Amino acid sequence: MKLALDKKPLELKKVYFIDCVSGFAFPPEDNVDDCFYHKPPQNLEELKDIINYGIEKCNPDIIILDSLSQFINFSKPTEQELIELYKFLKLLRGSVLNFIQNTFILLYDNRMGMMRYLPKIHTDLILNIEISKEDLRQSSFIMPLNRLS
Amino acid sequence: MSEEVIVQINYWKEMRKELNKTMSQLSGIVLLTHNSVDFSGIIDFLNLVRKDEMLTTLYISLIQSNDYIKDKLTIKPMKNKRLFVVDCVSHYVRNNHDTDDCIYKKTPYNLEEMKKLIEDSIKYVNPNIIIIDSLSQYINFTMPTDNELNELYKFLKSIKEDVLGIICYTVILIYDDKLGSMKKLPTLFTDLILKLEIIKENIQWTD
Repeated sequence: MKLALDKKPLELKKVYFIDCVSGFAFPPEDNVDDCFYHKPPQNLEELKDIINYGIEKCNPDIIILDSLSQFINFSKPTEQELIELYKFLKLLRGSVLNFIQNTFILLYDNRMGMMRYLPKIHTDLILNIEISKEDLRQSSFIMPLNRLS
Repeated sequence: MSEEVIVQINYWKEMRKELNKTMSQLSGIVLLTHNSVDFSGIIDFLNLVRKDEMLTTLYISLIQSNDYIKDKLTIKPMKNKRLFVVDCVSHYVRNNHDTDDCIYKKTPYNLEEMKKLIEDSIKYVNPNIIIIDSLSQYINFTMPTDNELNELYKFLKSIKEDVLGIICYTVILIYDDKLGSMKKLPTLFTDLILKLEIIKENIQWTD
């Protein structure tokens, strides 16, 4: 993430990370000013504790969770998963969002399938970013031809 | 070795909370993209458009016959809408004769011919809404050529200038996006782009 930010810096935003990927590799004392390491949460209940931990550390305006896909698949969610999610969202609204922490962005990767269920309760806005990519295959064909000549 | 590059980013906003307001004020050129809507779905959509007003709708069909449309309408009638069909599918059937609510025409070969067809058809009904089903016959937004885009923009501009007015205030262009995600959104000359996402499921029948 730091590498990506070096290439494309964020303007007017200071970013703090809670790295739940390398959490096993780095002990808590290795925390640096803008990055904290944590074990990956097993469920939304544990995630809530990590959020509270992050708020205590940096008092952010915006909180981004990347990603909700770790906990729910909206192409075929179970009733239990939906209940847990709504409980979590309700809790965020009740105890996390306020004048300072005023936005909570939940990222969700919908490559798993079309979202059969949209979590409209307890969300204020649902955005879908559609990215079109193209293969630059031509360049791979040009290379051998150049070499031949 | 191949490398992927980003060629387009589209931002879509879920609008169910504003749906009633948007549909009750629908006007201008509207692009309605969908993944698998049939005519019943279009009836559902039209029933939401300005639902408290009695409107005349000119439906230019390039993919469904008038017979099919009328069959569907008997099952699911349209509320507050008078539908006039321009059937461009069955023109070759000899026994078809124009009626009070349907005329048979050849399929317009390009958007210029489509414009002429619209202007001719308007004389029959003086519609409030015009629907073209579908724009996918003329352009594929997953990989449109510059020429296709230029033709489209010329068409949309001429519709805005010559067709839209006080009586006819909405043109809905239906587009089937099953061909792939839209690499180019025609934001110029369109007033609203709506994306209808329909999710279907197979029903397992048991004895």
